[in-house]
Amino acid sequence: MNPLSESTYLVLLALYQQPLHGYGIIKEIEQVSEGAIILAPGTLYGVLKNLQKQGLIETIAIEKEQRKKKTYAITEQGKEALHIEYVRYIRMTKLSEKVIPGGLENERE
Amino acid sequence: MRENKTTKKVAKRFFNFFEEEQWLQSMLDTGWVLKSYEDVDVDVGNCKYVFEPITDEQQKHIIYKIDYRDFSRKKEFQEYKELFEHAGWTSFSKSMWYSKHIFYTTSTKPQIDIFSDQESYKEREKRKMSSSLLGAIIGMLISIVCVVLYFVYEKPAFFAAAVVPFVSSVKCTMEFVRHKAVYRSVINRNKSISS
Repeated sequence: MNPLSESTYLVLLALYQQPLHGYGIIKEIEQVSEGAIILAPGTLYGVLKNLQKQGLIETIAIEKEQRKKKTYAITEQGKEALHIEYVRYIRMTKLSEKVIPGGLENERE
Repeated sequence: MRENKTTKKVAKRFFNFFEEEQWLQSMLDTGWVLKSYEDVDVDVGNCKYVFEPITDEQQKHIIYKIDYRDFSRKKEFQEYKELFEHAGWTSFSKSMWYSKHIFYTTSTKPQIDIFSDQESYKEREKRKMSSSLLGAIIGMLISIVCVVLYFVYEKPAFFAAAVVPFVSSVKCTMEFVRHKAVYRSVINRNKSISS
């Protein structure tokens, strides 16, 4: 499987703990990243469509809460894809730490 | 109608969403704010914009952004609009039959956009290209059928009927070619950013 785009990874990550509706995903990512990452609506919409097509997320009907807003949930397949990417990121980080002496501290200067 | 005196109607054809956004922005600089536009038209790609004069200070900070997307269900279109609405973007699209969606915001947050990655710009061009290509093929097929009918029945009306779909097919082809060039430039920009 191709590596997921950063935005795609973030959406799967946001849905990992709980199902969310569209704007809830933007808010979740904003909160967890402490305001550093704000996903734009056009990008999110495209990512959601693609993820649905690939079967990595699905829409679930929530009991008439907030006039039946569409809610997205991660699938087992989605969790697996997220996990593969997570492992890839860790591997990349470890590799970078080995090559760049001092790691991040060196980068900041 | 008194209202007509204070509105400005412009028909214009764009082959580049970035240029279109810039043009809307430049209209704002000269004191005209977008009121509506007609995207559903027989004349392919010819968009009719309606502007009105700026009436309050806040309108001067408007930012326009364009997305391109087809909808097959009204509910999907509503959800799409709602998502943008929550994020502070209001749509001008009047119905689900609109493919080009112009949004505006008055937010003054820096770097505000409807897309937050380069991939999204690529996808926007791809969606536009595939719908232009489809339009070109359909237009060509219809005009070929008309020409065949003309040869079979020898009625000039069939030949005349072939003109409109043929012209729209040519316009769609032009759109496809121009947007493909934009698509390439988006990819190149991508490369120059990462290098």
